[in-house]
Amino acid sequence: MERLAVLSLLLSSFFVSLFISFLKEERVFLRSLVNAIAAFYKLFVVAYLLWSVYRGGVFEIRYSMVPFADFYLTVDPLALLFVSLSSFLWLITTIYAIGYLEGAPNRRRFFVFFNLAVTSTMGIALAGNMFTFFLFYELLTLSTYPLVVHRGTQKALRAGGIYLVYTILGGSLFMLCLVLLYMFVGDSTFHTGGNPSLRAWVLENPLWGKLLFYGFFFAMAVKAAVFPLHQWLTRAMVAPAPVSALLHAVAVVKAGAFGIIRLVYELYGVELVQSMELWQPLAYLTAFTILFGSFMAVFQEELKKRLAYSTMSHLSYIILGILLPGQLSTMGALLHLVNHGIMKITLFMCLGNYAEKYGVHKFKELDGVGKKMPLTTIAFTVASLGLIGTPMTVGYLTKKYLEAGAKAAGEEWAIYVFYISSILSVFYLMPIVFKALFGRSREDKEKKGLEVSPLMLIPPLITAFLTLLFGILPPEAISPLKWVQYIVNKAYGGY
Amino acid sequence: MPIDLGYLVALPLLASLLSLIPSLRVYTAFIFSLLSFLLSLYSFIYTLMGDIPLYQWIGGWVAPLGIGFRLDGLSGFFLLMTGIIGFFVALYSFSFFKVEYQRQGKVFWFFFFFLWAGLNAFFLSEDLFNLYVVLEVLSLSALVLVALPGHRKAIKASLNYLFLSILASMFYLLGVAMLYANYGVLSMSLLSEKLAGTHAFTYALFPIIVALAIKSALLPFHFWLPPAHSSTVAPASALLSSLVVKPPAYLMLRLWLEVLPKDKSLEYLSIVLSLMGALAILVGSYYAIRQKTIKMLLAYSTVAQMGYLFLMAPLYYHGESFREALLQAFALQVFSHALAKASMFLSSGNAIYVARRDDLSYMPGFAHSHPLTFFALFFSGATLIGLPLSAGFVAKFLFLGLSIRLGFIFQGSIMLFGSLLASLYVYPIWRESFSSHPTKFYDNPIPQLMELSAFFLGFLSFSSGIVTFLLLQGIVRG
Repeated sequence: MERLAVLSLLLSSFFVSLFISFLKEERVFLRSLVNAIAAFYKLFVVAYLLWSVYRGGVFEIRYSMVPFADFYLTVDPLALLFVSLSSFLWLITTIYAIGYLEGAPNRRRFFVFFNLAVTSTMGIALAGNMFTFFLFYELLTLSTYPLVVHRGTQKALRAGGIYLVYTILGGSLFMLCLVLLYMFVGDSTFHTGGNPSLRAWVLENPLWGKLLFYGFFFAMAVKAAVFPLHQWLTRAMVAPAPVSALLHAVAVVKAGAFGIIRLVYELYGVELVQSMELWQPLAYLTAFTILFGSFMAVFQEELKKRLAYSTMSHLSYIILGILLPGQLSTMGALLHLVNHGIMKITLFMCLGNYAEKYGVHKFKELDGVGKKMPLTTIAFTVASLGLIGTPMTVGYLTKKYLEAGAKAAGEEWAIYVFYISSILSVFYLMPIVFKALFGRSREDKEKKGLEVSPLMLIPPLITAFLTLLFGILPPEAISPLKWVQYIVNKAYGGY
Repeated sequence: MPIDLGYLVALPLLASLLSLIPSLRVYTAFIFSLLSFLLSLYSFIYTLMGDIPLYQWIGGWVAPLGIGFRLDGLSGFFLLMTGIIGFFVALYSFSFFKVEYQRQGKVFWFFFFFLWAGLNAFFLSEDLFNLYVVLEVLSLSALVLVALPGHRKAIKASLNYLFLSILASMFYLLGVAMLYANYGVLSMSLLSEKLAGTHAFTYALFPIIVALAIKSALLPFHFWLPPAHSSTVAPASALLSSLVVKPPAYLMLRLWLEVLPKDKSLEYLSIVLSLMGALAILVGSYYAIRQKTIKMLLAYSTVAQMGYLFLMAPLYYHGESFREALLQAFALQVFSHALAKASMFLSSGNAIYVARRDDLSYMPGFAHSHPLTFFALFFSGATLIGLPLSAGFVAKFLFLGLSIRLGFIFQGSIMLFGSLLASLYVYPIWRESFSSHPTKFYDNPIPQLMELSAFFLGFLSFSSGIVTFLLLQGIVRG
């Protein structure tokens, strides 16, 4: 039963993609139905797992895949955080994508790779050691490339090429580090508080330990778009809106951040990372990324690019939170993993709606769209306020935790970084809202009917609602905050 | 229950004879390819469960005179590989020769089954002279398959192949004769007993290794391969590139691991082979990147991918303590490349069928018009690069790990670099297929069977990485 639950979590979307690849392009209804059923089924499994892991259940699948390395899937609270985030957002995005792509060509191929990408995200979440993590991490690259180039325009092809260059080079670095790890240590299992055999080895060979840590970090940083490795993210925005929404704001970049969480907390262990001062140079780098991303976002004319730079900076919030020592910043980082996902996906879906209905892609085309599409604009505004960190939203929560964490760690400079970035984000998000609401539309032709099809309207409204809901729920209620507290208590109680 | 290994050879041979009768051809081809596939599958399953190694003597004549067959983990695994590819290529060929090259279809099946029988016999034999005979059988049928289209280019490639293959055979025979003159045995297991502790006649093995290097297109002898593999019809190219180049490399591994004694001169030989392998990877990939036609690209990629098997030669010499891992890495590299390359050549056949010409720039929009063929190219391309979860990745992971463990940093870095180069030559295929340029060619449908068999081969090559533990159990068992 337990194994079945874990396997079905991983394989349900894989089977969907296999099934769809044999369906004819015209079988829209059946395809959508299968997609939706699988998405709901997955949520059900996630709920079951959340409940039983909370009661202390242990789930794992482990077998020796090659002589050195095991294929190891495990369900721990941290994995469940990522799993529940991505299966929920998967459902949302699937609904949105069905509406968005209505009538577009090649939907079959789109959903095949979309489901493959979700499979790999699940694998990334459930991976119990670095080897398994790597398998799915690379599978994610492979399954998202076709989504980036989905439109097949020259621009998309070029973006896809750049995406491949970055991720394949990152993957090679990852593979090298992984092989070195296996040859030197022979084990890459994630343990709460750090892998003991790795710890022993690093203490003996501090130089190699350091190199390996940085190697792993930068291999993941490619996907998390840390400063010099962010070029692909901004270009990959040529993909269709649902792809940008789920994959480039949530799945791919978060996979990188999630990997860093596993690396810092469960492979090396916080103690080792702190005592060897591995985190400091990286913290400065991510702080720079936060500022750089926010700053660049202000000047982007293309709306999706603006969000891409904002993603870059917010991903570094998470990474900085991971790197700063102490419980509070960890909580902030984990919370932001979830919260940023919910907020950013809302923004992307709203932009998708603008683009779909009125062809708005650039900042200057926004004039008056807000009045024609009030509900979308409300969702956009709420999510923007969240990202800025206004009270009553989830963004406020994470910001408070991150700031408190920075203070507790004695790294006051980080607080200023968060402040400045907040101010910058006012500058890159609010003008969009104002221009949409108060700009004078050049052609005052309002299209008839609902602003967009309900399939595209309801998903952003739900996520926008959650942005508010999780922000004002009391700490006792069932919410990501509570789960994160549970994880952190467990992790820091571990030693 | 042990099987009679003779059937593995007799069945395809019978099929090749029966396929000469025109009225029975289609039925024979279908029934016998299915039967041979099932038989290979059965013998593979036997290696997982039954008593191995299994020795059988044809007609009851035992060594040193009799012809013996041996089934162990490694040969069982390669039988399975031959079976899978043979079966899917057969499925593909049903449709292919119905819509194209009808005249060639009449002789194709004879040589197809002849080749299959030869491959099965090769993986089962363990006597060096026996292997010589089978190697000739393979070359002979390969020769015809190269010349199959009958145009000038194909005939020329086939002749080139003939000359080199005769040269290789002479080298091989020379080595075998020297061994026989000195030790009076040719069975590998007996030979390894006699050779143990001696240094006297290891040089007899040099010509054998050179012969095997020629046959599997190692660098200075690689020039016959690209024209031979690219000028023939798609199913034949698939067979040649995925299966025919593999047996010599397989024999080489057997020799290193089971027969050859520890000797300084052999160590030097392994280093030379390794350097040639490295060069093959670099040069093969370089030419593959520069190609404008799909089939030439794939053929050069075969040169590069075969290079890995030789690049790791020093590991075969030094890696006794990692014998299992080495065998697995080797087997997986061969297996993944075979499946992926077969799938790619079959897909290239599909592309050429649609566009009526072999040209990368005529690929645009393939992912839109023929998704199944595109998926085949996508998955098998990923396997060639060695991206997870593919079996190619597992092979590269193992090779890389072993080369670091044994201190062969050069080999390890070439391996990693080779993957990057592979992504450079696979990438144009992907990019072009996604391009949204409208093309007038792509309205014509491809026969379903041709698309499906290419797709399944590609999918298997990619997904088999996840079940390697199952595939490789036999090898671990002996």
